Amino acid sequence: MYVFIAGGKFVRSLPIWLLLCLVLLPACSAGAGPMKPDTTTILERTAKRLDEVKSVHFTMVIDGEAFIDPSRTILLRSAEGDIVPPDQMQTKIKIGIGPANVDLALVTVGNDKYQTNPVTGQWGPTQPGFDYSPTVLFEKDKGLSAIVGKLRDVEQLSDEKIAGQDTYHLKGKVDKAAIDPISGGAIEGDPVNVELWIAKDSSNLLKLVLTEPASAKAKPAVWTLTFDKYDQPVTITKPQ
Amino acid sequence: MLGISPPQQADDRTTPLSGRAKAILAAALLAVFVAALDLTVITTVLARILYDLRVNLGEVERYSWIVSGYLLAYLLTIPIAGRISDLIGRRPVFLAALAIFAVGSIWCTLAHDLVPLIAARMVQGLGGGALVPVTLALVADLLPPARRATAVGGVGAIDTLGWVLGPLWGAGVVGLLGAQQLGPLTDWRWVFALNLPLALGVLATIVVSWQRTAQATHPVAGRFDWLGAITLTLALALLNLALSSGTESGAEPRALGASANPFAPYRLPLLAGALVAFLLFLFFTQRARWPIIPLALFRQRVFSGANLANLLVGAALIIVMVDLPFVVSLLEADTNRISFISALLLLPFTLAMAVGSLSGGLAVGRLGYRVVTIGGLVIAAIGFWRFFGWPPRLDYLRMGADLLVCGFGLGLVIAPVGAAAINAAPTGTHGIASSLVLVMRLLGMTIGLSALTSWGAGQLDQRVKALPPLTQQPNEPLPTFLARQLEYQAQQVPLITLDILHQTFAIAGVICLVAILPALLLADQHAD
Repeated sequence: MYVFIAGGKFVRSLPIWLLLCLVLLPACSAGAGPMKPDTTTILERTAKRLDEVKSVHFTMVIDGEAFIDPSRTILLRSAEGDIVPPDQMQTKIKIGIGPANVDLALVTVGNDKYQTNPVTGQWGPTQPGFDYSPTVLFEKDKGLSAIVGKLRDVEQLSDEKIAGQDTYHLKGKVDKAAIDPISGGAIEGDPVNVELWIAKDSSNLLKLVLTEPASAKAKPAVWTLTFDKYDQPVTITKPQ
Repeated sequence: MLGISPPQQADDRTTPLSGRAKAILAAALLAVFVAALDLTVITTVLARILYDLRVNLGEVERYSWIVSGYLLAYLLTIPIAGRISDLIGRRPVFLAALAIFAVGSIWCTLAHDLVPLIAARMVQGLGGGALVPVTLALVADLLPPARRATAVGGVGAIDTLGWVLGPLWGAGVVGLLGAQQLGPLTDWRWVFALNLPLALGVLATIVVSWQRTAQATHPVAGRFDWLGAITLTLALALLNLALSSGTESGAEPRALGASANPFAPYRLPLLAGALVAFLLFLFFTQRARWPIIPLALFRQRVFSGANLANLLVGAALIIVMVDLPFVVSLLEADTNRISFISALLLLPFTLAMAVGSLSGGLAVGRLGYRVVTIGGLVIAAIGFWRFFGWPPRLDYLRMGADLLVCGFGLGLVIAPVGAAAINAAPTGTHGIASSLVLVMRLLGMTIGLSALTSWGAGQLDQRVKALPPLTQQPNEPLPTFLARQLEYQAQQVPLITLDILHQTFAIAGVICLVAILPALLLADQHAD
């Protein structure tokens, strides 16, 4: 201000004026917030982060019908567990059989795989041919990072807070074939609608919602997956 | 003292009630009816709730709290709320109770997990139970003594009618509205959502009418027996938790993949805690000037006998209300018809109970309390024994006839034990005596439910685990293996569960026979 009041001293004060601008400009741009990365950058960072995950806790809730058997009698209803990529996990899966819910527990430690008997609840080794494990979520070529990489028609929605963390909220579509490895083929219709919430500071994927297309069935199923406790120590032990 | 405070005016039996007083009473009775509906409304929609909330079928000790949590909160507030209304006035306590019931109902409607639903049901029960004694006291306040006894009986009858019709109401609401979706409202949630307009209607009537009536009540002097209330609440809550702790150790895997029973490791500490809390309750109550439950009443042999018999009848009664829908869910393949069939089968039971109750009231005049009570208990036991032989299919005629016999027997007992207890109480304590009759039956229902479902869950776990397990074949995919398990489960588990439920019915029959012992204490006097 002094520069202008001084009037005739303007030219002499020019270096001070320029110095002030240099000091104030970064401050002004900081007030407006950093440049928002584009969706491609966000997704690339997320895919890279997913490939580096050391451990994570996850929950999955399915609202609607997701049959896991060819005769369409067994419904996958929810799951919760811990994954230590590439080959350790402990998960409890809830399945709907008729009017009842029963639980099935799975543990994988390296090449040793165990599961509970859904009737008696007793642990036993999984027989060869067991072809699904939640560890697939963090496999590079067919897990979440692959899905993130194959996302198309991506739109960025308003930022949201998830579990107290600032996130980018994106939505897009992905071919069913890309989803099949993680859903065991239980998601119907093509393409599948995808929404993601990605932490701004860590690029951690915090929430993923997969929605069947309206053409799939009268009430399309919605799969909601949440991820937390990234890279925290977790012990997965073989059942007794 | 609970419930009835001294008459303040309108002692003249010919004085008609004002329009506003009638409106207050009608609104209060409607509220009592709705809250009583919610005692048992859950039974015919429980299977739908468990499926929707993803609750494991084997975790009975957890989900039975949807029923027993409400029962426990309801019965605990009956002795407490009446006394509070004596101290601070009926109107604020009634309005608070109604608001709590409405909030609990909204919470039930929105609950998306088992624990919040149980908590919501307990909030609902706190409000619902408080409505009963305040309404009883309100009747005493508004009516002259000559008309009071009939009206107090009417409140009890409305309450009983509510929980008797509860299962039918639940099935009816789900049948009519279950398929409709309105925001979060769908399926079983309608049952709780409908409480809200009813509660608001009552609230509006009370606010408008009670504000201006000349017969508004005034607080009386005295102190609240906080120590008695707290220790009684603790004792009953800990006892029910102990009874829910099951028979297994809590560490080993459970049938159907159910989670470990969270109460199992604490069975003994819970029981010890319940005992200590109960002893403290006795200690404080005996020294309290205005005890929450006047223990002196129980020195009357007839009063104690009638209430003990009533407690046992409550335990037997809840077994039918809760276990019958489970039997139906195991025998009916179409899940959409389970609620309807359960309600249909409960109809002869509840109707026979109503007829039995009326008949019992009439028969007492000729035969006396003892004969009618024992007769009813024997008939109910015969009915329960007939349940034990039910075939593993829905035989409507057989089941309906047996339920009719059992309901009539239990109904016969209700009038004589209630009347014997109330008439055995000294003049001036009839209000609290009638409340205690209700409390003891509800206590029997709560204890019976916790104990027998816990026993049933333990049996189911043991017997299912004893089944020879199927093993996954080499290269057999998980879905195919699960499908094979499903077939195995469909064959074995319902048969085992049915057998256990049949045994539970047999135990309920034995409970009826045991109730004959305290019934022998009933003086063989004829009713007035």
